[in-house]
Amino acid sequence: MSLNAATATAPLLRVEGLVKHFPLGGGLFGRGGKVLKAVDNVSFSMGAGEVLSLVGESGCGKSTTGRLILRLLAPTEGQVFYNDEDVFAASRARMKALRQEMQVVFQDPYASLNPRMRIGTILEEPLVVHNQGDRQYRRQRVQEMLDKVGLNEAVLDRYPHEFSGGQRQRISIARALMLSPRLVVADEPVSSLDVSIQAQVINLIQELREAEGLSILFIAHDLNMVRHISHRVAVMYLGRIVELGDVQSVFDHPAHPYTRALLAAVPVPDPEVSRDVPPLKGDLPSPVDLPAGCRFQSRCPEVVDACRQQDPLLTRVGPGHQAACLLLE
Amino acid sequence: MTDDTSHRPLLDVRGLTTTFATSDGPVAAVDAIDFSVDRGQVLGIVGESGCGKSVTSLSVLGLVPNPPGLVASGQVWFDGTDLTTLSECQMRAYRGNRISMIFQEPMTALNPVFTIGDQIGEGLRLHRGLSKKAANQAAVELLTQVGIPSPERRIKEYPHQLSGGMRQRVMIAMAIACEPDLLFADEPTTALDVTIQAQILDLLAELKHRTGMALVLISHDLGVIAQVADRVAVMYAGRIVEEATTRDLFKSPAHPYTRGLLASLPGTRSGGRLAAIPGQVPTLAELQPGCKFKDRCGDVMAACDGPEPALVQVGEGHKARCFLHEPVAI
Repeated sequence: MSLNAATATAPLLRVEGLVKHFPLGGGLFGRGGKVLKAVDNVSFSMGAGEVLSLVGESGCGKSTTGRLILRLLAPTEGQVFYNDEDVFAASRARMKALRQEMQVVFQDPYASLNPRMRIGTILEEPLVVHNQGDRQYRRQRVQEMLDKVGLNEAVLDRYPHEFSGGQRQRISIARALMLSPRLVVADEPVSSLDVSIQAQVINLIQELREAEGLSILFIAHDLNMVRHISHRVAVMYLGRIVELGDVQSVFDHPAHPYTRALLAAVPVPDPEVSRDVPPLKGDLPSPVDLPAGCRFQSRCPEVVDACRQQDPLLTRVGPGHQAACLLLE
Repeated sequence: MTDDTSHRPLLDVRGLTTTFATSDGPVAAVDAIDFSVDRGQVLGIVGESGCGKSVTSLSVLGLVPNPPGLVASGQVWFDGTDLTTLSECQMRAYRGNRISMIFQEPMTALNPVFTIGDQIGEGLRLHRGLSKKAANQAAVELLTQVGIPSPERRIKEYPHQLSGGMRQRVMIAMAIACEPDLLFADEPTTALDVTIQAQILDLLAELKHRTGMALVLISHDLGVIAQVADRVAVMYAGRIVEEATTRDLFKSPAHPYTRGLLASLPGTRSGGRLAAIPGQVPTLAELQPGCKFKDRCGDVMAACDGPEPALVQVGEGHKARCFLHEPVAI
């Protein structure tokens, strides 16, 4: 895994000031109502062949960020550049072309495969939609991809319900790779699977990444898995990236108090290791009524007065490592 | 086993078998399992989906839906009484009173149309004959115990007004209302974020410490089990395949399945391949005779096709069901 080669070139994906607010209604004619700030000024970039993980607790905006990048949701503000091309400015036809390069694997392999379609049809569909090849070519490509994800051709005439979760996730991955994309957004691809099956699917994702030179935006909450699979990691809290850096620096030297608490909360599968940091108090605050100042102030064990007034920005804390905390500025 | 009451475990399950009727005939979701829990002890039951860990707890509590389910054989000795011989009415006097349970999904386990206070107080009104007012007062106290702020306001609220972590705290408050001797916690933190999970695990440990209750913690998360349990039983396809103290299990796992589970976890170094267990968990209907893990096992040998290995002693308080640990006569 050589990371330097990946980051030295121009980024494949550049996200700048991404914002997504969901109006909750309530006001007269929908005006003046409350707003849920799901993603609030998120910026990062990814090199070709790189695996960047977005981590954080439920409601931190990691999945919304993934969907915005793929333009499955319209942003409130901000820009996404794929190979220096503004994704949100792309025409309908251009967007369709871009989608061949940007694919997605969702969390729930039960909900993301059409139960009425045979596996063969599911896998062939991306090629049909994008008018690729004739029937024979498409058949051949489906075979090839099944092979890569470790399934045999006997599955082609079967329906999704006949498969286990792990097999379905293999099918979802095969479908995402049918068009040979450059970038795959994998939104919690293994969290619904059993432990022994998770390892199989993660190995598959790694192999395919190496073989196809994919960039993967890996959205997950399992920090051990994130550490295993990623080059870089972005920790999100209430719609913001609070820490961003190489996986080794972030896990070994977490700079933000939230990252430290998150890492300390992961149970270690070793009875002789005991947790020495007390768990964070309280719940994630509502993303509707955000406090002034730092978003983490209500749960932060190191909070000072300034945190209640000033909203910290990402600052450099080491090579390729940034964090947003006033105590670091 | 002697009948010396001073060494009698609080819960002693012997040969418990629970079957479910399917179109292919009855299949055993839980197959002749034995385990016991002492007062103040935490037993972890670990396994993957479909291994029978949840059915085990439902069987002990007499909550297996019948039909299609049936506790086909075995005894569940709880403090000297075999729970399987009790009528539904007699069982109700135990359940929620001396034996309690918390479930994985705190949203579906709470009734959406009753207030938090009503639901916590229900057990106290039923088992302790408390008045509504007294039960409400007790509910406030219980919510304080499980760390919910402003409990006086919360008891008048409905489940949808609470976050997932809060709901799980309410579930725990309900479960401990009658000061049970034994609490079954079935994946109590699986639906929660890690920071909330850490809070709930701390709370369970503190309650156990304070009240001396025994806890059966069912989880697929080896990290959670390692942090909380005193002893661990590993289940695979309805069978207990290994049982040991938590320390022994993690330090010297004896069954290839346990070894595989531990090896497949991502370590603290990044990169490399994970040691995945090949294949998938067999469905109960397609189980072959012999060892149930043989199709996925890296140590498979000729004997594995024969009769299933017995759960044999491999160390002090450490048992495993594998021919690697059993002299085989050929």
